[in-house]
Amino acid sequence: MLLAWAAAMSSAWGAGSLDTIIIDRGVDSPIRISVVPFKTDPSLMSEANMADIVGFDLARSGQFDPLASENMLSHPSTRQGVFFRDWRILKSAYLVIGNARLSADGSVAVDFELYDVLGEHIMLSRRYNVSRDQWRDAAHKISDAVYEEITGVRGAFSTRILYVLAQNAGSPSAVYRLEIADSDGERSRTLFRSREPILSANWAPDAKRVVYVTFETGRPSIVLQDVDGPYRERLTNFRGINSSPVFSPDGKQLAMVLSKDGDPEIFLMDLATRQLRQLTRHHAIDTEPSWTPDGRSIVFTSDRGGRPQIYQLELATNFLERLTFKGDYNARARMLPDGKNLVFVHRTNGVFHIAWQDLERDNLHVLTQTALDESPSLAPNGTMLIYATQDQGRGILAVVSIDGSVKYRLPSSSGDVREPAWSPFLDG
Amino acid sequence: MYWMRQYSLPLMLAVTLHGLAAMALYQGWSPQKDVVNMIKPRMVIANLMVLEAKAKPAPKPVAKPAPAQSKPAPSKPKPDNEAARRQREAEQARKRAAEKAAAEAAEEQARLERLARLSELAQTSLDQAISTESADLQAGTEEMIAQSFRLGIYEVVRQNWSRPPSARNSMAAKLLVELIPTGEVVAVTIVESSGNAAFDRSAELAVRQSRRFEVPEENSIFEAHFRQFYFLFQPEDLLR
Repeated sequence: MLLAWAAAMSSAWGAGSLDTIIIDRGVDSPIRISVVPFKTDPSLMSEANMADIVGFDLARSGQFDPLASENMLSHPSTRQGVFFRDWRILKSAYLVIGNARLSADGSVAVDFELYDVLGEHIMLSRRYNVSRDQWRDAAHKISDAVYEEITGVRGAFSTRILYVLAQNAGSPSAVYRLEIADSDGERSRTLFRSREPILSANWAPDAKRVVYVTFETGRPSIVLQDVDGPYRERLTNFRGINSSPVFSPDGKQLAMVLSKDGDPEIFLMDLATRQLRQLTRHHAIDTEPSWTPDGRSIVFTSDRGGRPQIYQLELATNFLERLTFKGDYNARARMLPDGKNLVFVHRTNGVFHIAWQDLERDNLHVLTQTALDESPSLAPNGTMLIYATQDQGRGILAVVSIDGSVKYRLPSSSGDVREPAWSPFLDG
Repeated sequence: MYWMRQYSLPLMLAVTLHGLAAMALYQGWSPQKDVVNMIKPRMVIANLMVLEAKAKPAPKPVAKPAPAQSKPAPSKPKPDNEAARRQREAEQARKRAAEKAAAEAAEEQARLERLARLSELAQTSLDQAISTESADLQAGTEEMIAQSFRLGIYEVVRQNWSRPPSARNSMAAKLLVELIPTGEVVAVTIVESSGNAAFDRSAELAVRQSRRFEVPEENSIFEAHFRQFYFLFQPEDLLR
């Protein structure tokens, strides 16, 4: 004990004379992680291997580079089978192993462990007991746990996405579906089906309800619907435009665009009383509202300056401020959860991009190029974006990491996929 | 054959011309290399040394035998005055000559000793000057060597550092690293956390993934600069 203290003191004493090398830059390449195929009971082999689901989740985040299982030197499923040297040789910084067993009562027990390969110690060890149809949910929970343990940011893999699937659009046999799916595009199901277009779907903050625009009455109207229940209600059916419905962060109000009085203006609807409050009064087009995370301001697109640009209106004081000044077209803005950064569609030289802007420092970063000016939707942890793009003439969904470095396409059904909306965290 | 005769003169002229050109090139155009080796010498501080002339007792023993010898001599030639006087004079002359020679010898010795001491002094101060200057040079060179290895280490760690999404430019983490003379990392500890566990871990991972650094072979430089040192991870290039 004394010896250790003396050693510490002497090292501290000598510490004043040690050199310091300052590392002021890095190369942010995705971290190499190995997710070993889980040892699965034969009766569960019909399911997709948990490791594949987890690997795809982690890859989509842009932070990880999962090792292909055929390159692994061994496939351990318990600590005894783990030889860290094997994983160091493969330059893998982290290792995930696990197994899935069918219990007597028909439920599934999933165990997994996360290891730090270079430090040679275990970081996480968890077990989930789920029903068979929650197989993929368990995998996403593992992805969330691994992501959060390594990056310190809450994982957003156990979330859902909404999107519109259009088949034969523009023809008399056109069918439009509002679909809901897992964050990786799997397990999709239809919430609403119509022969008329569906637009602007958005989530309630509790993720239990969605709101969207439908043309089923012959003109656009805003509809509120439960995700898991039969409840469906038409909220507006005014003359003219009824569009862009967006829930406030507390879920009590809905911002929307109505042109019932002439030109498109932004309104707030109180969901309890269904009372409307007009926010903008300008002859220009004011549209595409979204909320700041604190619920105190609305960010929207307006061409009152001549071209579409993004403005912020503080609700309590009616103070209006323009946010974007670069480029000739800035629209469909969403604020990041930290309230300091904005993601939006930006056009320069005739090409549309999804860009993000740091509101404090006023610098603009282009994330991707998109052929459609479709609204990007943010993951609730602010690290990923989902947006609609074109691939071989077909609309598909893609996910890009917030620094723009990694892009993935989501598997999609036949037809054109548009208007994605990422759900909030599903606390439940 | 006719053409050979016709071309012989021009051929010879051409060869001579080329030969002259080659000689001129060889002799006249070697590039001048001005090697300017700028080593700034230290200012020489000159101290004035004053040597006191020490009166040396050395000449005395040389002169001693002469009076001892001349003592019994004068007692003898009392009856023979002329011869005695002449002898006495001769002896005195001899004595004087001997004393003069002795004095001169003594002076010569003193001078030689003075010279010797001066040169010895000069030598010591020169030695001193040389050694301090070479020590300075040595230290300067050592620092330059250490700096070039440090740059190599910086480059390796930088390429291995992958920042998590929660990293910000305001964060800073200080790590203590221990190496062995082969350059391998044997210990990494976080001495000052950034406050963000993921950031700290990314810094630790960057060092661990580097595994082995290029370090100087010279053991003194390794021990002084690379046995133990700190890394300060403080990003400046993040977007946020």
